[in-house]
Amino acid sequence: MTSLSSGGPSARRRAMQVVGAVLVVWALTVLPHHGEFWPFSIYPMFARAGQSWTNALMIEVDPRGPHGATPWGPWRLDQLPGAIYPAKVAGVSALDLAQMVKLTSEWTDDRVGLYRKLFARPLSDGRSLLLVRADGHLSGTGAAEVELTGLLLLEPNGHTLNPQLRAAR
Amino acid sequence: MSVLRRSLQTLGQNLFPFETPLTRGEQLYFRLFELLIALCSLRLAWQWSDYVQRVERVLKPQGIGHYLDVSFVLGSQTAYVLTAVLALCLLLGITRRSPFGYGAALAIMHVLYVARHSQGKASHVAHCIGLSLLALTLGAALFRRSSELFQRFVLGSLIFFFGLSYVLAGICKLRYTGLGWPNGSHLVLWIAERELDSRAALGSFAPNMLQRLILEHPQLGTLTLAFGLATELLAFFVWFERFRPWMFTGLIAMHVGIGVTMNIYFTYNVTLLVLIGYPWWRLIDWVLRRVSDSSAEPVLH
Repeated sequence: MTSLSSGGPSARRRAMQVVGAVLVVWALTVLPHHGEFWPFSIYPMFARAGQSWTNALMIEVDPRGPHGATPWGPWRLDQLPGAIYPAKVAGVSALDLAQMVKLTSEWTDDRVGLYRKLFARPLSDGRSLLLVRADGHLSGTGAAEVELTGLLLLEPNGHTLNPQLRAAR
Repeated sequence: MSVLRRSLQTLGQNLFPFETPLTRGEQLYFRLFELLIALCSLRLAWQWSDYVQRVERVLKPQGIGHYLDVSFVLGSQTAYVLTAVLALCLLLGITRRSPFGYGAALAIMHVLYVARHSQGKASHVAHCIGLSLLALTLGAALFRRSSELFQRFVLGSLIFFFGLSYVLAGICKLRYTGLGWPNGSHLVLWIAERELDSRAALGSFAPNMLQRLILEHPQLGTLTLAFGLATELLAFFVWFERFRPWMFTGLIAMHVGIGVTMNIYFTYNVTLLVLIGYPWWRLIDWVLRRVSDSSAEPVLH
């Protein structure tokens, strides 16, 4: 049994060795995995300051638009052609939605199916939702500029891709 | 004795004061800490289990997911089963029935975290709970025969991990952006991103007074970011007992600043900073003394 009075220095040496070993494991796990291996991390959030970002949101639209064509933008935030459908109402994390858009380079049927599954609830209510990508950057004057582009129209019984994305497939 | 050796010795004495006997207040305080970590772990595990029900496949692997296909946890009841096993493991850890209870809990939490965050975004809100479980795991394995050494090791190593985490965050900012990181226009751009996040999640966004001020006067943003960066880089001061409450206060203030300017609330971090940053056991000891004094007072007729 380790006693507090006699075992202090040796126990402390042991404790420091263990902390040192954790540091080695910390480094060995995060370095080959882009800085993340829970619960270890290099905490890179907000490290790349001033760089442009991509985000995403879902808006509820009239699928054929006022002029009979699906609107694709680009728009500013105050010009969106429909009300924002809150991701939280669908039980979806807005951060995950943004990451999914960032990670989607090919708009395959499989990938479209993922978005459809996430927003299955509003779609089954007969709503039509337009997935919108937001690109933000700093202007020359130091102000933030945000441009929004429609990517994917999800309807209860089908979907339409932005023709520019379809061309890129 | 070399400078490095002397520094390590000083660091060890500050983190692990093994010679100082534990008071009753410290013992009660540590039990509260363990209970809090268990409750936070279960809450996170439940939330992650709920979320993975509608997720089918891994988009971007995290952690052990680089080597093991964790899709067996997605879209099934497996996550809930793991959460139930987690509760059992935490119980074994808290009751000291098994030295491996906390270790198993940490492993299960890792799998659930990896499954939940397999959609691309590695969240940092739960790292402090994971590090606490790690400290408990190591303490239980190394010092299971002495509750005093176990308790001192867990809190000392956790304080070390906390200080290191914030310093790493500060170093990352210097590495990827440089000394120009604290520029108010960067905060203006982040506030615009948070506006998008908030609108995407809730459908609305109303900037608070500080956000409006920063958008109008980016210099204020520069001051805010400079305070944040300096606090992170100096966070290693928590390793030293005499600076600990001051440095923890700075870190809590930084988190309040992040919450107000960017609407990002690191609730678990702040809770733990408040809990381990100050000597609450002195208050518990004082209360216990008062209670025992009042019960020992003779009754006058």
